[in-house]
Formats: sequence, C-alpha cells, structure tokens
Amino acid sequence: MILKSHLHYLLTAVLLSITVGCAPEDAEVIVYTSLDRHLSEPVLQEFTRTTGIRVKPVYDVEASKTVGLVNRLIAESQNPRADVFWNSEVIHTLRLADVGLLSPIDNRLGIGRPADMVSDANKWVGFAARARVLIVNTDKVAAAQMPASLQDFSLPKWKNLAAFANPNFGTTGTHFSALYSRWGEQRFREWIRALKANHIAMLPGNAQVKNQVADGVYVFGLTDTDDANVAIQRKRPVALVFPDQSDGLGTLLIPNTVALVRGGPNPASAQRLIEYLLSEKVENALAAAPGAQIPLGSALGQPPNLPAIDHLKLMQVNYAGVASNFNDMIQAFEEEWHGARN
Amino acid sequence: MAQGIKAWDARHRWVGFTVLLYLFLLLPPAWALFDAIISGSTQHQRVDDALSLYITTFLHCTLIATVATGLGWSLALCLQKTGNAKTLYLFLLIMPFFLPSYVLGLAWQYLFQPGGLAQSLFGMELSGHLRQWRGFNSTLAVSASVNWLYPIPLAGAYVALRAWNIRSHEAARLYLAPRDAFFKIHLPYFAPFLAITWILVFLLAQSNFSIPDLLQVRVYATETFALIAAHHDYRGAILFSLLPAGIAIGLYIAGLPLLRRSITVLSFSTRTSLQASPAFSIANHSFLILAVIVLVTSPIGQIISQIESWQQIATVVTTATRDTLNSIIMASMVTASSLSLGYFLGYSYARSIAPGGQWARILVMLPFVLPAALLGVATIQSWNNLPILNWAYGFGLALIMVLALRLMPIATEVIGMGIRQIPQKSEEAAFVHSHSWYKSQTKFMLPQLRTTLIAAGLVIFCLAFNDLTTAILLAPPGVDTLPTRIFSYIHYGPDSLIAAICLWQITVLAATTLIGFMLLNWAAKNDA
Repeated sequence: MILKSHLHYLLTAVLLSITVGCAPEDAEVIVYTSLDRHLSEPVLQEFTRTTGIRVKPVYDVEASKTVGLVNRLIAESQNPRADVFWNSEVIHTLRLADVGLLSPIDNRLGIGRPADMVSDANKWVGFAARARVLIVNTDKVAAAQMPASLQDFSLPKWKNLAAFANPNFGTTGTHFSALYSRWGEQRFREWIRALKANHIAMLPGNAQVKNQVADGVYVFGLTDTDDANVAIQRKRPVALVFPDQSDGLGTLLIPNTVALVRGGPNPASAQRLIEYLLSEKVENALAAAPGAQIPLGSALGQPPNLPAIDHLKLMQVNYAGVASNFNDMIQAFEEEWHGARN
Repeated sequence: MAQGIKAWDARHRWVGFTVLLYLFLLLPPAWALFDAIISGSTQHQRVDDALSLYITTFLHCTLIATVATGLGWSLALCLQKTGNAKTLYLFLLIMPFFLPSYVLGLAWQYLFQPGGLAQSLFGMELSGHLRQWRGFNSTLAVSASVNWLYPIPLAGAYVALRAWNIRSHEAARLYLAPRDAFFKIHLPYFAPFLAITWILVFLLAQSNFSIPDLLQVRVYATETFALIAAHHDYRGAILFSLLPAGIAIGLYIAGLPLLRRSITVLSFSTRTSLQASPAFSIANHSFLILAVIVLVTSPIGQIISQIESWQQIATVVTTATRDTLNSIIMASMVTASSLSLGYFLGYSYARSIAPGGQWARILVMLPFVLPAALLGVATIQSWNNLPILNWAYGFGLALIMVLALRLMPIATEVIGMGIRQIPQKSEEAAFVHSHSWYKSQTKFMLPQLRTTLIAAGLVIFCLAFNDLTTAILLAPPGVDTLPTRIFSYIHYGPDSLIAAICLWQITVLAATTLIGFMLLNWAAKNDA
C-alpha cells in the first residue's frame, strides 16, 4: 500500500536520474573507431590519463568491416551521438564527408603532412598509414622466386596457390578501387578474369589471407603491412614484399583518418582528442605497436621491419576519385568474378 | 455474475495492453523501414544475379534443414533407449545450439587447417586436395550449420517421443503391418513435429550470416550484409530481403496448422521406455558416443587445441569479466521482456482472443525473419530521432527491446503451445475459485507452464547472449558485450587468444545450459 502511494515519486526519481545520467558532459568524448581495439584502446586510455577527459568508445569488429560504425553514424545523423570518427581507412570517411556528416577541423592540424593526406575542405586528416603488400610463405618459395607484382597473381606457376581478401570490404576494396581508377575499367576486368582463371582464392578478410599464407595453405597473398608485420613478429615463416616497385604502379598507402562529426555533443573535447590523435606521440606509438602503422607527420620514426617510406615507390592516387569509383569497381568485380553477366 | 464476467474479461485488457506495448516498440522501426523503401534510393544495382542467389540460398538452407532434421531425429530415437545416461547425452548433444554459430564456424575451419584434426586423420595431401575442391567451402558451411542447428530437431523429437503413448506403438505393432503402422500411426503423429523443426532450422539457416561469411559462401544473408556494409544501400538491402522474408512468412503460415496439431509436453515426468536387446544397446551407445565425439568434442576440442597456455585463459577471463556481465544482464533483461510480453501474446493465440487473429501472429514473426542489421539501423533512425525515445536509445534500452522483439516469436509460440495443452475449462475453474483472472494465471497456469517457460527462456537467453549484429549497432558508447569483444580480436588476435576467449564463452554458456537443465529437472520433479 505504502509502495503504491509513493509509486509516482519513485517513478519521477527514476526518470530524473535517467535524465541527469544522460545529460551531456563536456568532460567526455564519444569516439567511433574502426581501428582494431587492441591498438586503439591504449591510445584512448592514454588520452584520458593525459587530459582527464573520459572517452566513451564504440569499436567496430572485423565481421562488420566498418559497417556498424558508418551505418550507425548515417542513421544517427539527425541526432548525432558521436563526436569523433577515427577510421582505419579513408573511403568511408570520404563517403561521410560527401553526405555532409563531418565538420571542418582546425586547418593547422594538417600542417607537415603529405598534401593528399588532408582533405580539401579540412573534413579529415590522414595519419598512421598501412601499405598494401604481398605476404609470401618463406618455407614454400625461395627469396629469388618470390612474386613481386600484382601481375604475378595471373602467372600459371601460382595457379591455386595465392589468395586475396573480399574487395567488398576493408582495404582490399580501397586497393581494388585504386587499381580500377589507375588502370581503367577494361584493364581491371582483364586482371580479375586472369585471377579467376588462375584459381586465385578469395578469403573473407586480410587476416585470413595472412593466416592461410603463414599456415602454408597458400604460397602468397595480398594483405596490409599491419597483418604481415604481426605474422613476422610471431616468427611465422613469412616475408613481406612491396609490390610493383621497379616498373609498376607502386604500393598503395592507406591512412587512418580522423574527422569531427557534425553536431556531436562534445565539440571542445572532440577537438582535443583529434589534436591528440594527430600528435607525434600517437603516430610513434602506433608505429611501435604490432600493427606497425607508418607515421605520416614530418620527422617521425619508422616502424621496425618496414623500410622508410621515402624508399618506397608509392601508388599515386586521388582518394576522392578512388571513393567515387568504388561502386563501379564492385560492379565490374562481381560481374567478372561471379559471372553475373554470363 | 456481471462482476464475474467483468473480471474474466480482464484478460482482454491484459492482452490489449500487451499488444499496444508491442506496437509501440515495433512501429517506429517499421515506419523507418517503410520510409526507406518509399523515400530512399537504390544506389547500386549489385544484385542483378539475385535470382541465382535466391536459388542458391534456398538449396543451401534446404540441405541444412534436411540433414539437421534427419540427424536430430536419429539421435532422439537413440536417446530413448539409453537408460540413466539419457540426461548426460541430451545435455552434451544439445550444447552446440547454445554456442555462437561463428564459434562453430571457426572450429570447423580449424579442423581442416594444417595441424587440424582432419589433417591428422586424412593426411596432409588428402586434406590439401579437399581444401582446393570447388565445393569445399559450401560443404564446410553446411556441416558447421548442421552442427549448430541439429539440436532443434533433436529437442523437438525428444519432446514428441516423451509424449508418445507407448500403447499406441504396441497396438500398432500388434494389429498392423509395419508399413501400415508407419503410415497410419507413426507418421501422422510425428509429421507435425518434423515439419515444425524443419521450418525452424530453415529460417535460422537463412538468417545466419557468420558461418557463410567466415567460409566465403555467397548466400542471401552475406549479400544483404554487403549491400549495407559496402554500399550503404539500405533501401536495396530492404528490397532484397523482401522475398526471403516472404518465403519465411509463407513457411510459417504453412506451419500454423501443424502447430495447432502438435502438442507440447508440460512435464517430463511421462516416461517412455522401449525395450532394447543388449546388442542393439551397444550399437545405440556407440552411435551416440560417435555423435558426441564428432559434433561436440571435436569442434570444442579443436578450439581448445589452439590455446597456447592456460595463462591465456586467465588473462582473457580478467579482461572480459565486465563484458561477460554486460552480456548476462542484457540477455537476462531480453529473456524477461520476451517471456513477459510473449506470455500474454501466446495466451491470446492459444485462447483465440488475439486482436487481428492470425495477422497478429504474422506481425510478431516479422522482426524474426528480417536481417538483424536492417532492424538495427531502422531502430537507430526511429528511436534516436524521436524525442520521447532517444533517451532510451542512449541508455541501451533500444538494444534490449529490439532483441526482445526479434526473439519474441520463440516465446509466443512455445508458450502458446503450452497454454493450448491446459484445458480452458480448468482455467475457468481456477478463475471461479480465485475470482481474478490475474490470480488464475499466477496461481494455476504459470506453475503448470514452468517447464515450457524455462525451456523457452533458456533458448532466448542463449540467442540474446550470442547476438553480435544488434549489439554492434545499438550498444551505447563505452559498453561492450562478450561477442563484440571476441570479434574485436578476430582481426589481429592470434588464433590462441581467439580460441581462449571462445572457450570462455563456451564455459559461460555451458554453465547457463546446465542451470537450465537443473531447473527443468526441478520443474519435472515438481510436476511429478
């Protein structure tokens, strides 16, 4: 009886506590990050230790390949919940910028970085990149025989022996879209047809490519420096080859990107987090971490196991063009790979 | 008299309130889906080979459902003749369903990797040839899916056999030729159970994403996901999902008459005992032990064999404790919500007082047959953008409510079947005695439905605990569940670390299943 008579007070108290609990505090920042948790979590924890600003992260998972975060950002656009989007690649950031979900960030933050790593309207800045590489099993192939080009995937001697990841997702999508942009549709289609004819395997992700090459299921595969470096650190029998260094397009660099979400609840804290992520300290920490991300700021250290970025021939691409060609690339890929047109 | 009728009519108020609450939860995301179809644009014409994909998916799911049903029923028949070991066998053989499908997918993948069990059994060369066979991945996906889903027909058959009147069997054998006995006695009794479990397995196989994705098999679930993930083509994904959702609803409608014919065992106290010869008994035990080895021990053993040190498990337990607690709290709240709302909806089905009749059932089934990612995005669009609901979205309530909506058909159908077994006259007598419909439910109906509620609760709890897609989209910032933690390791994490955290999840779910079994036994003893 007593409980019943006081029920409305109880309900009011509960609702008030929920309202107070949900009120935005500027001493916190909400970041959506698709960089692997065990790499991004220490960075965010260090930010909290340094600044006292509490970070509420939402991590993406390998299975969703950025789908969770990007779709969530788009779906939340009328009432944004996130302050910062820290993406482990660039295409989806460009897509968010295209649909007007990002705000410009302080243009001083891009100073000292390669020109193509800062967006024209300061909607994002690139940092800590990965390169696309061939991972080769050293038990299966001698150093002199190692593949050195993307064209090697179509050589008869590698029939059934090589793999790449599904280009619908992740950095393989970015890479294939860059190839589509540089080669043009016709040459891209021919290359895919050659891969299919040579029975090259398509695996769910770069991690599976790395694992299956390290296990000797395949002799070599296409993956990222971070995956290859993890295998090398674990003393797996693999070597890393930067493709097309002598007479090809060079290797593609895919940066992490950081962006400010338009209308996020904690803009001041978001600005501080973005500054922190673009600091030398973070780029060096990510270079030293197992992912061996390549720093893009000036005068920064190199990760172990990787050559200096100045010594590499890099693929020259316009990331905006790569992003806009993505759907056409997928269409071409699907038609050639799955034979939708046949 | 009038007051009595009024009190009895209280059940309409309870049901009506539940339906309103259900619609309050369902309509915002349903509107968001509808709005996306009407006002969205299809950005990418990717599924131009949609017809071949639908056919592939249909064949893939049909194969899984047929093999899983056959296997489940064979095992259930063998279980009837195992004496005291029955509960142990049942517990072990039911286990795979309570594991996340991706853990089983990983386990089957590990089986055929270098150093895996398959290589030890068949040798490196044969194992290598198998891996290069064109149909290898599809076969592996079917095998892993069957391994995950066969416990459903096993449970269905087990329940049917428990309720089977042994005298019918004896009479059939005495008076009819074996063929006639099979077609005239056995098949009409068991067919509804067979069909229902087949349909349920088909629906779950159709909506499963993680096994085909892990093994790179192109089916409807992976393509829907690609449309959203790679192309952000939300409208295209909804349109692409309409036909499979329609097929699922069609199968459900086809199964409705069977649901009415089938019976649910309210108590496990009914004993069926078929006498078996010693030779048969040995063969029977051998088959069951082989099944336990292939379907339970091998996949779990393969995961354990990937772990490098036991220290790793201790580390994993320490880091994942908070996520495990989050998952347990979330799954408990989902189970409580599904069972509470599901009770009244199930009651309305069983007593034929559901507003809208069969349409209400189809409406409740809709969230179950739609891909979780579609429902998740629709929920964000609706709950986050409506001022009266956005506090709940930020609070994580949206995650609980969406999972409760998705899993509610399990509660409504199981509870509905349970209530149908209690004669309405008995319920009316209880009402006359207590003068309150509410009391007649709590004092008379619920105690009789203990077993049904525990079984449905156990299934809902484990499915909610293992959910990944909804949690990725709807968990509030700073909150993780155990499956999202596992998947955050899948990229860089060494196999040993992934295996360690999977083993931790298996342990938590095995403990949950064990508690569920103990509760079922307790309920059975009380019923007896």
